[in-house]
Amino acid sequence: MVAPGGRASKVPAQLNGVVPGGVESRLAWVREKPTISRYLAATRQLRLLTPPDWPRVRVAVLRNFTVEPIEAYTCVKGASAGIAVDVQIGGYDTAMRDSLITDSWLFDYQPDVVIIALSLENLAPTFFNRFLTLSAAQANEAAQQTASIIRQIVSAIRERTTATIAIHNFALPRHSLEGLAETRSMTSLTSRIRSLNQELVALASGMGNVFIVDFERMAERTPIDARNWLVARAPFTPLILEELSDVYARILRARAGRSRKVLVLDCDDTLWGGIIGEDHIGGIRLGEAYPGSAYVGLQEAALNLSKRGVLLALCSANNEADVDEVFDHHPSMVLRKSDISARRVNWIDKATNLRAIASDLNLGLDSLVFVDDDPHQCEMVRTLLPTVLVVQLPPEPSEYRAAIESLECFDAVGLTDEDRRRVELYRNEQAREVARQSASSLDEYYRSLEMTAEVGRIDEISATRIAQLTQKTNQFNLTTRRHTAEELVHLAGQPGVEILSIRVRDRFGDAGLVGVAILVPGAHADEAEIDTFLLSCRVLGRGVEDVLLYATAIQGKAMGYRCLRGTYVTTARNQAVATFYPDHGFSRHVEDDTSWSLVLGEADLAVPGWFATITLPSNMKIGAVTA
Amino acid sequence: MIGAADEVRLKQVLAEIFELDPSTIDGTTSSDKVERWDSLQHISMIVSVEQEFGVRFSEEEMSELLSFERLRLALASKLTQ
Repeated sequence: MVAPGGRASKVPAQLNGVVPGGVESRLAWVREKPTISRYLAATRQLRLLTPPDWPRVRVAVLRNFTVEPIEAYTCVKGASAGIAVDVQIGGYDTAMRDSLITDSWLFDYQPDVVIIALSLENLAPTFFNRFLTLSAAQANEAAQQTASIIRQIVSAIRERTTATIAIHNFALPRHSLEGLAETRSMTSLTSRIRSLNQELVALASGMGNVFIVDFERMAERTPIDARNWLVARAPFTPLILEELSDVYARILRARAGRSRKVLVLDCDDTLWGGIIGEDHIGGIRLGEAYPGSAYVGLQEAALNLSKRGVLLALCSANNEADVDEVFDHHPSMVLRKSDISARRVNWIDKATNLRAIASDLNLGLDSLVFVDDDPHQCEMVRTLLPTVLVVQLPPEPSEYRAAIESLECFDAVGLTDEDRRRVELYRNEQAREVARQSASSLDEYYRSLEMTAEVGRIDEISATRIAQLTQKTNQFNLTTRRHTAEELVHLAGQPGVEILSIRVRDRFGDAGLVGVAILVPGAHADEAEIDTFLLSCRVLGRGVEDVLLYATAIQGKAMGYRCLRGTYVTTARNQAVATFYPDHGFSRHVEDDTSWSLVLGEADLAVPGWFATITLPSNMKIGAVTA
Repeated sequence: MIGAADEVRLKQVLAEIFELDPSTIDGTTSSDKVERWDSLQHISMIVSVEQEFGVRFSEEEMSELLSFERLRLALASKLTQ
């Protein structure tokens, strides 16, 4: 669906060296004067300039008013994130038809994202424009009808596509209809639209991969253009177009797996005011009184992010003991050492340190967001590591908290419990690292972990996590094919298909579901194709991939296949697994040089001896491959 | 009248919206001669000209500004005010 790629997320100014020059100069031209005409012209030019290896995302818009300029805005914002966007806009007021009829363009188009942008004024004109002529019962009925229309549209799309669905909620009336009384009424137009919008949230929360575009809030901040609305049913002002396309771009980035995962923080004048090495623990500014309160605010924002599953790291030029002292003894510290998943507190340059932090966490540099107050440090990182998102703190301390909270790069499609636990998982990883250093041999170290691996088949519960791994895994991923949960559940029901996943636990904790293998029928009747083979980077280097490949081979054999065919699709990020198949006894295919075959039964696949327990699904038995 | 530089900017906006070569835009360029000058692109053009020059056209003007010439005149009266 979405092709591989590992480029930076939004924030256009960051993209030097990431987006090709021709594309970057077009984006800069739009940024210089962001008029609708420049967006339109740039979009036409970008179509010719877009690199072929960018992920392509198809966006369908169902609407009942004039939205057209949003196409160009979305394409330009997509290009800023290294995503090639194609937009199809449905007929004026045909949203119902587009989603309900079987031979609709919508399904032929195979959208990755469907946006439902409906104006309440057009959808329920009497309700919106003559509200006070309606009885309470009539008003209620109109609201229910509206909710039902949207429910039908969304359900129809969800049944037939795996697209991410984004529903615009409704703007509130600009002025109250009932004066002061409106403020205390549960049945006013304002209250009714608010509950309608709540119903949309309920609808989204009950379905996979459905989001709300908060048009209510947007229209409150910046009113629609009344002139263009009446003249052409075109309500979007340039400002709304900017905000709306930013939201769409956020959805596109999440869909294309471009979310960032780590917030790397400087210490002096970032986590606290002042220089700990000079001001000492009593002299730094941190606490209830301004400006210390601003630093508390920044730390609280970071803490909230970590509870969402974002990893925190420190990268600062200090003596480690000084920083330890603040963490251990300053009464106003919000962050604890246990909140920090990686740290480089030393006198080495920050670019080197950021590389080390990325490698500690087994993540790419494009997963990092770096926060620092010092413009020179920020510039150095921007220059040397262009894929790191650099956040330079604003001049006023009161803006620090918002500088962190306004980061929109940490979205993942389908937040799972494992996201919330990821922080804990990495902490366990650190404990493992300590153990690794003390074990005399690697083999001994692995044994000391008392690892257990459990291979299972996909089910409704694991589908979301499996889909998320296909979306987010870039390094140990042989084909980098992105799938949604709905696609996977559908695929699993097809003949000759098996979707396996692996869970790993050790004495430090439960790593959760960390690997996926998907077998589909190959080109020849007796051949199974390995559509997907991936492993989360948090368990790299422990032989988990050997267990998964072993189980995959056994499963292939149990399904009656004679051989497995594995393909390596090269991306910017997966060089480490280029020789995975040949390293595991697969032989190169004669017809092409990117796929390898393994004849089942002949090969010598084995599982590492250091696993304490390996559990396979019921019809598989250990030993079947080499037998 | 608007200055030469402003005229270039106006032609540029029209060229971007309607996919024209700016050098072909002159006093005869109007909605009935330009294929892409439909009601939809008209709104985008009006708003783009407003953004480019920092002006606002009235509701009445919106429906009248259907040629380069009229745009140029309307703009001239706004920019000299």
